[in-house]
Amino acid sequence: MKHEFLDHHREGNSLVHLFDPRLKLLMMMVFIIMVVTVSYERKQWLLFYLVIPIAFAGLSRISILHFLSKLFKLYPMIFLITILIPFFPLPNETPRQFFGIAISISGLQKFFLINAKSILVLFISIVLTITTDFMMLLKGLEKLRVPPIMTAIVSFMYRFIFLLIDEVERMLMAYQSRYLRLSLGKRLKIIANMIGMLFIRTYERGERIYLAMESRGFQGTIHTLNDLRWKKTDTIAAVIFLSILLVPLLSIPF
Amino acid sequence: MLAVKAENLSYSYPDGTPALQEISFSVPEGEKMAIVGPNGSGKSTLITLLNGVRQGKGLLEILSLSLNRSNLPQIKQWVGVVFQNPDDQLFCPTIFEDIAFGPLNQGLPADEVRQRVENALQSVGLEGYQKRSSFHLSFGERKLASLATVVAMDPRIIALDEPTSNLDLSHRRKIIRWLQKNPHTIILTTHDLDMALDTCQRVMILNKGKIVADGRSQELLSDRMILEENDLELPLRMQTPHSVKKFKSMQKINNR
Repeated sequence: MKHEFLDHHREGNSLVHLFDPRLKLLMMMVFIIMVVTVSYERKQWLLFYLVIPIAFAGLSRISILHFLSKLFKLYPMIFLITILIPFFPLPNETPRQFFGIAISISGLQKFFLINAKSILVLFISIVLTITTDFMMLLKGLEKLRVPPIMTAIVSFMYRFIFLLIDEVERMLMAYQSRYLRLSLGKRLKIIANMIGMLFIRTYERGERIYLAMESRGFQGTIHTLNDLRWKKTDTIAAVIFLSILLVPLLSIPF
Repeated sequence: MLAVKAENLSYSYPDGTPALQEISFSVPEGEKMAIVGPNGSGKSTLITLLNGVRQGKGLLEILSLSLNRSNLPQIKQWVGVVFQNPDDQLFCPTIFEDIAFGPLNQGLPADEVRQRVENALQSVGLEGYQKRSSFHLSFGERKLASLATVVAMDPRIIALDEPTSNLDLSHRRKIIRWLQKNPHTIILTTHDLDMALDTCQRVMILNKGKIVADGRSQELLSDRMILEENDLELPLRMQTPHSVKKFKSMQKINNR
């Protein structure tokens, strides 16, 4: 098994693994909406919300380190995107000087808020997707009325991304075993050619797959057996989840 | 009944290169036929013509039904095609979905589909592979799984494009056994003449889009002249000093 990084913990029998994929997707969406709408004045709510993904991670019986390692692979992207925010003050704001660098306080607040929210959103997405069988995730999406063309695209991508990686690896190996010393320009040219070749091969593969689909009676719609069953535990989990999520709202004075 | 009847069947690639030129042949139901010939002789093209995913000129009848637009769904149900590269045939996240793809397109009820998947996996010896992803399987297993995708559709004719290419010996043997015990009409292309000898009563030699020879595999595959004229070689087991000289002595060896 060469490409196992996606599938490591999909199969398991913890409570979180057994949740209906629809429940997981819905919980994820509700959680994301709740987290994203928190304002800076109520930033302590975010700390409270951290309980939820940690609880899920604990229930899944997968080492928390595994989730954290995934999180730290994705998080730097958000950090890089937001790093410039503190340097741009609002129009009517006077930036403060820190060691000779002008930093906007409102920008700094925004930076912290976005990063904290992103970490929460990434965390819950990682916990729920890692513990869900990929096929089940697709079926869940289908049941939640995501257009079948979208789920089909995702399903094909999941199937063929590994083949594509293999193909690239083979091409690179063939290239490295023959090239000795080339100028940067020439190397770039070769790589551009390889990308072109890869495109053509992918296109041809698509053509062959379509033939194979057609010869098995494909007429434009992909049919799948959808055998998801909503269980009592799913309802209970949904209720518990929602009540935890609503706890911070009690602190708002009427 | 004739499983396949072709008369003056031609096919040209979209760029105009002729792939098959006015070939005529027929295959009775229940017969197993191997199509052999050098690369680029039109073997694979012929396979894709059989269930109408490519359409050529001339007459092509499958089980007495002529191939046209209105008969296409029926013919696709009758003729199952196993393509050369299993990665083209297995395009779903799990083996179950892949095998269920055809039966679901046939509009079968869920329980029947599950039963079909199970039976198909059993027939190729991959019991319990339902939940596996095809990218986790070996090439041989993927090849067997791609056979199962076609078996599950319950076709009457199975067409296979190079079923034993790139396989290790044990998977090659498995496929040969599967072909031998299969009661369907089978049409396959191959470069593996020993396999053709093991599985098919009849051999057709195709070269440059034309039928060069057509006959019983025991006879045709021991005819050194005609094989070498078409860039083929005697099957390994025929390559003994005695057998090459005379056809008669060769038959003795085979009957042993």
